[in-house]
Amino acid sequence: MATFKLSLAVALKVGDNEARSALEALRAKMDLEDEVRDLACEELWELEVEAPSAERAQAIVRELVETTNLFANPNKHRFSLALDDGSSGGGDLDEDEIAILVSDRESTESASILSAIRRHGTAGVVCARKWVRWRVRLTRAPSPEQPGLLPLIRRIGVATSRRDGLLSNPHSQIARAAFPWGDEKPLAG
Amino acid sequence: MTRPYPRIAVIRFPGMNCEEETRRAVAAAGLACDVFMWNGPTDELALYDGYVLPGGFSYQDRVRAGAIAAKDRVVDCLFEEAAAGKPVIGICNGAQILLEAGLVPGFEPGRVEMGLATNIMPDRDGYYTRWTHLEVVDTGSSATCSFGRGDVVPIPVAHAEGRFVTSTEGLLDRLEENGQVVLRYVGPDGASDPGFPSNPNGSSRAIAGIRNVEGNVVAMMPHPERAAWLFQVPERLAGPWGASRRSARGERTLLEPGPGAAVMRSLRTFAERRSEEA
Amino acid sequence: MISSAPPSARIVRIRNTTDEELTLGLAGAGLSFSLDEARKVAKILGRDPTVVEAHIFNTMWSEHCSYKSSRTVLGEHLPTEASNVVLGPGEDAGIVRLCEIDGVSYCVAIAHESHNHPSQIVPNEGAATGIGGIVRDVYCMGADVVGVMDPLRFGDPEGPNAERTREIVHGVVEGIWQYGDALGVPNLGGDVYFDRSFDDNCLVNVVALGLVREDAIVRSRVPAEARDASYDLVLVGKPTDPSGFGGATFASRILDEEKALSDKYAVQVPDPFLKRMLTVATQEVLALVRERGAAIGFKDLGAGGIACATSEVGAAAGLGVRIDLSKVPVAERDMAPEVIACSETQERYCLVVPTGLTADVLRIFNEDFELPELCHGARAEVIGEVIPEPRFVLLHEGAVVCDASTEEITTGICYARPAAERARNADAPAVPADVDVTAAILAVAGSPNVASREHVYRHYDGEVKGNTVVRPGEADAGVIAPIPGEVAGVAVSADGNPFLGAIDPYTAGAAAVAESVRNVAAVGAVPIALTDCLNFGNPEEPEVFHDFVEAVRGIGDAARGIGQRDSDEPIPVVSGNVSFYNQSSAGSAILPSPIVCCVGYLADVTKHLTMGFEEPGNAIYLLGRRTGALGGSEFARGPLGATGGQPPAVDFEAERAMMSCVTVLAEARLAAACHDISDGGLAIAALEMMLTAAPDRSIGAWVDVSTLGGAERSVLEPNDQGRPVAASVAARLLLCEDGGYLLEVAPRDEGDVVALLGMKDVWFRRLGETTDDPSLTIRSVEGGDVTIARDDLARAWNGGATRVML
Repeated sequence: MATFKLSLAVALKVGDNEARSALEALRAKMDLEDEVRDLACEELWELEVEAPSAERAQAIVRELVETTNLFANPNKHRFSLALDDGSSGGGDLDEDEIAILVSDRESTESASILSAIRRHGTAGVVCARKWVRWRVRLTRAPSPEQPGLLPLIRRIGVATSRRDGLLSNPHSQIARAAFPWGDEKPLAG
Repeated sequence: MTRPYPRIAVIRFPGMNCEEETRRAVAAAGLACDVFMWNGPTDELALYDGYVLPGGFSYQDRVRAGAIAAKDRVVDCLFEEAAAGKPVIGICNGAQILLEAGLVPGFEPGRVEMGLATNIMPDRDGYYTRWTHLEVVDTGSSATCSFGRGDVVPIPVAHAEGRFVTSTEGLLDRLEENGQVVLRYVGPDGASDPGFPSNPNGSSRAIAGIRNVEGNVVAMMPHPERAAWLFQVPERLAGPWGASRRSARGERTLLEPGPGAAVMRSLRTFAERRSEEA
Repeated sequence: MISSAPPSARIVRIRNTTDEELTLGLAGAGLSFSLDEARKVAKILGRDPTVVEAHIFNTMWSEHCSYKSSRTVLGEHLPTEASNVVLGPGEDAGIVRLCEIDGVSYCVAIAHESHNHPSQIVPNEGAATGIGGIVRDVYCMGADVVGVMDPLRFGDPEGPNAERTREIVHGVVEGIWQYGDALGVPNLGGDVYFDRSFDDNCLVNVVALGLVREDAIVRSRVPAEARDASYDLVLVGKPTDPSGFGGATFASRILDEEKALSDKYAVQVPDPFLKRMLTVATQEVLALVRERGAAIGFKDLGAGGIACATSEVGAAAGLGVRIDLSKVPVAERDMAPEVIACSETQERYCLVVPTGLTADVLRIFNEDFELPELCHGARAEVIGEVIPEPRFVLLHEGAVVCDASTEEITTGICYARPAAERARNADAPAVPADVDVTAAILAVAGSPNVASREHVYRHYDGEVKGNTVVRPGEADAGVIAPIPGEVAGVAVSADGNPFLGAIDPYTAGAAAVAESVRNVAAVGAVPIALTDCLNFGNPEEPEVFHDFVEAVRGIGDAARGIGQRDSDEPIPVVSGNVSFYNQSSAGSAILPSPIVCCVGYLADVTKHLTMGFEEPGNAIYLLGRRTGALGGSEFARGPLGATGGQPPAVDFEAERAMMSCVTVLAEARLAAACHDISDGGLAIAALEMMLTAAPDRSIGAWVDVSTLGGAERSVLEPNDQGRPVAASVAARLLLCEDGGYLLEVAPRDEGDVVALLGMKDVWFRRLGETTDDPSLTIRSVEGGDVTIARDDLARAWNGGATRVML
């Protein structure tokens, strides 16, 4: 038995009011019209699964997602599952996208989903943490050397002042950024 | 010549839903009160003597309760008027906006120094409604100056994100030392009880409401407009207010002020005091 | 007049087709009506319909919209008229008069619906759009929504589909709070039952209650003024998208979850934020309309979308409408005209306004409230006009895609369904001689179907608007004082025990009325109106249809038999909904579930009652005979494991007398507390009165079972009083579910209470007393008194439902 890290991304198939409102706030209220082009939002579950093999670990989670609605409801969600190689936040980003991942510092969500998984009779899932993963489409494709990229991401992602930061509150949440080139950076927490 | 009543604006951010009963409760305290649209002219808004940000779901709590409304232009006006010493009370969603805008605790105005995080409750999640008992810890604020220090006052809460938190070390101590914690959740008998359900959301140090350093800006999670009249108090509530409620059944006294009315009276006292000083 | 088909539109070929060709053609066009129905459309029009017309008929003739199976039955049995009715069934909500204050007549508007299939598929969105839809029905009468309720039925949380059931419970409750709390409408109650028959088909019923001045009622029709003046049709709200296209037909067939999956538009996206903004903006519009003295029409867009709403507002006035579908704000490009016309996108209204007012209406929505900025693509837009000739004309990109008389479009359809009684299990439940009374009471108290609903209702905002006097959990009905500064009160309760439906649908219907009436009366309110939502399986199955007919008959008989307190009039059924096809694709139907909501009026809301005991040393009076019949009771189904037998019959005369007495006692302030007896019988009623007393008051009670003799058909004789009763008889009497009330009465008031009860010929007993000992004691049981500690009762009752919902 070994422990495998998996990441499960769950996105809405139907219109996402929350992402639209956030985009509107960034562009119209925070004057980021020239920087931010679009915004989408999904849930990212970081799971740790004890299993004899990586394939088996993925199969356990896939079965759980497909036979229950604990993580996703097939009528409104689509999901993708991958082994977490440490860059899960960046994974499938387009070259003009960055991701901002936000998670509550304290939450009962992990405990309740783990107990639901146990009730369901699935063994092996030992850890679950939920992130909200905002995919921010920028007007210019970012690059690793780009000056001012991290400050821009902070202006989008971490509410430090009345004018700056929207997607996370650093006192209640932790946040990190992920880039299309596979890199990740902590933003808060 | 009689002095004109102080004029209070209850600000309607899009998606709020308690503006009408808040206006009634403020007016019942002898204040002139209007509901003012978030996109209304700020030069008119600046003429009011005080402001209440009511409860509800501004922008449906999208992203995070209060996060989007805190970026609205009308908040600029509130900053200016708060800096001038006018009372500003945020109730529930209004409190969430004030924290996200950095108006409270306001050690460095405009800086986000705290958050109102999702409730932590045993065996449940999401929204939670309950009558809570509050200890008035400080009477130097625009929402508590008509109370006695140590008063125990029942007022209901209704929220999904009401847990006061900060990641800044020492900030909570500083808040308490400054008397900026104005309301704290306690047991029905007034005894300290940081556990659920007396503390309904897991709030740090059972904080239910805080003020800025000057005391004119207050962010409180409980809804005083839902305790503004005695008939709103539940019959089964423990303590003297529950007993008053039961004995008033069948009497006109049931329509008299309830425990939360003193918040609105505080607002009036504070606003009047300020205009006298001015 | 025979209309010719619009030249440029696509046609559905119906005439001169074989059945095989037609079947293929209908399937290809995505139409679900039968071949006979399709041929009838061609006959009515005198030609083949256009694709758009076919979709309109398809929706309008769905069971959901047409009531084609139920209409005759409803008309035959339900009393819908009384002198207090302003508007009976037919428009979006029923309206009854409440009171007159300073010459102003205030009315209550009420609507009651189901949103069952969507909630099974996507519990959160399904339940949320249920609330979203029902409030529109009330808002569009010009009323302000002052309360909502949600009767819920879920699968067995401990059965084979337990986990799925828990997910649905969580999703539905979350959807209700996320929508209702954000919209800002107080949740005043509802109920929850669990049974395996709901595993594949949960029930989410929704009730919305509104307050409206009689002179400010807005009708869902083109105003008569439009005959002589120019009127515009304004569509406001969310941009139209393909969501919910075919929703009405989705609700009108057996739920097939696999199939639903393939329909990407089955999910309707709720937006309570937009709804809240529409609500406040609409209040400004209605204020402007009143100020200008204008007449308008106002209708919500529900099943069938633009096509159904606009054709109905036209037909109701005998006028026509012409709509340009190209002017409809849409969320996606290249939407087919039938999709624009019939999609069920949420959060939309249609207003019919005089042309002179149109610019102001558009300004309020689009500029004052900035709808387009707040909600992507939302706005108010003129999409058409009223025309004098009674025709329904739709244009799309310059082409006429529908042109028929409004009469043709809104022609109904009706079926006479065969009914056949199903075989019943008549075996009466037997209570073993060695029954453990304590264990039986605790088991019933801890059943998920009886236990406290606190876990659910604490998610719901019951106090927004500031008018709430009695919250869920404090009494049998929610009570509000909806006119600020006035003492006029409104009480509401929704009820319907599905286990009675399983045994005897007539009694289930009658008992639903009786229980909702008792609940309203128990807070001191006089019943003034009823609504019903009738949830059943496939009406094409004769046994299901028989259940339906019997339940409706029971509701009608009870509404007449109990009647209004101060007159011979029935309690009118002013609104309702029929939901058929609630069964799994595997074939089993849900328990027949007639759910009834009762509205009551308190002339002086300060005199309301709650159910918690007030003082030790008060007397406890029982109103209502205990026959001991256990069929359908929690005691029988739970501890005894017996599903058969007969439930207690509903005695309309007795219910009427008790309702009258209890409300008079409340008005005279002669009762300290009051609680209706229903699920779990009088033992549960007594323990609930104990457990809902103020927590700093430690009040218990004793009751004497030997007092219960003398009831007709009872297991006890009148002369048994004072003589110990066998445990099996005691358990039967304590846990049988005959309707009734428990009253707490102060000693000084006992004489007056007894006199009044005697005068009204109510069967009653002085059952026991409240005590300062925190326990429930049952006296006169053979082998000694049975005493159960308050803590044990609390543990069972408080935890019984929570444990299955975590």
